[in-house]
Amino acid sequence: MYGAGTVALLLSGAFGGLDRTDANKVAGIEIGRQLDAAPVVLTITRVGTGPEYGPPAPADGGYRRSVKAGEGFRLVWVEAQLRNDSDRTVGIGTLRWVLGIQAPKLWDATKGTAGAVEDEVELQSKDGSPRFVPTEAFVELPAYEPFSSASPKLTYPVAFVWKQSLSEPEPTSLTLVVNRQTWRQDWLQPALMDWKDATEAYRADLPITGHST
Amino acid sequence: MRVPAVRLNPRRLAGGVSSGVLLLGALSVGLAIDKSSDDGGRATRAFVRTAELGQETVTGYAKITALSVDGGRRLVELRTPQATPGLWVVATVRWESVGEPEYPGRVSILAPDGTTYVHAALGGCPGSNPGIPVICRFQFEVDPDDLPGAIVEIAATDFDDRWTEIVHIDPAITTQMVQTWRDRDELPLAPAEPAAPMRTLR
Repeated sequence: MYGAGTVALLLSGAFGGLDRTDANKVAGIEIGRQLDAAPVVLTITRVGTGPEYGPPAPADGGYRRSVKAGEGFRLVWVEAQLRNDSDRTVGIGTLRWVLGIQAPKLWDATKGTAGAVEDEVELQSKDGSPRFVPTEAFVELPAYEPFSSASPKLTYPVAFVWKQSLSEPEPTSLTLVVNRQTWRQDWLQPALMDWKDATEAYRADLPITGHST
Repeated sequence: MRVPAVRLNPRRLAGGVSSGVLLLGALSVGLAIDKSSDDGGRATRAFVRTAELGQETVTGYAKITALSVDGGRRLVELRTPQATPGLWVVATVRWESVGEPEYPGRVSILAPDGTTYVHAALGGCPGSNPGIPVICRFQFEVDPDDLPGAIVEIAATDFDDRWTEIVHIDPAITTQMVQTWRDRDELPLAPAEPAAPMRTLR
């Protein structure tokens, strides 16, 4: 077996050698610390919960910018500074894999309050255990506007938002997972380059310190 | 029945091994040449067309003319975030399909250092029937320091491995223009002219 391994190693040398593997694995998360979450640098500033996130609806019935949990749900949210450290714009398809949480009974907060709850898709694994749950509900602060792409070199204050069923007890902490992605060719269409292979780089249980009303 | 013992023919074995070594050697040399001669795609990009504002370029998919490039701190358009850290830039482009109904594949702003700002809204241009031009507007949020010397890149299709359907338009953005845009609070994004009825959409 060692002989075969040695031969494979020698042969790989003729083709540039084997790829280096990162042995460090998963690091912790601290509030206010910059995290390398390629293609972005993420600095988590606060974790919170509440029935609504954002300013109340204007009295004149104008455009409402807040995210509402709706009946039977609470919101859980993570506020962060997000800087696109790559050399090109990244869109929602990449951003949604930057940060996820692991908690039971999570739902897609982009659905808002429109439509019946039973029509929505519960973001759980089939065996019911909590899994990594990305979000598509991004809010750009301080104006609480929808956020869907990050231009290079710019830093955005943002919030990631999820809905959680009130059948779960009020959480005192949240398990956060921050991924790192790789810029590479698509296997099937080599002309297409994109950020792929989201890999867990940071993980931590952070206490909930923010409460939105 | 007695099974005859298998005997390796030393000459055939040596021939097989040397063939394998030669094959792997040739492959590794080919790979080394390929890597050392990587020119960052300049060979294929030799086909990229260049133009100035107001100058029409005819590609296989469309006749493309960039009409203007303008900027401001806030974009007056409801679906675009208003309080953003960058400067908003709008490129107004005349698009006329050639041969069959088409629409732009990708529109970007390329900074002098290669930083790529991709059109910020989904869709953006309805495309047109052949011979019937439409005016399209593409918005970008850009780091203002990247704007002087930047160019607008329009890819007439998104599946263009050979870069034969790409136009680079130099709007001649100067530092003074960027300062004017920084001082402008609101940049109106006029609605694109309605597209002619499409026979088919790809």
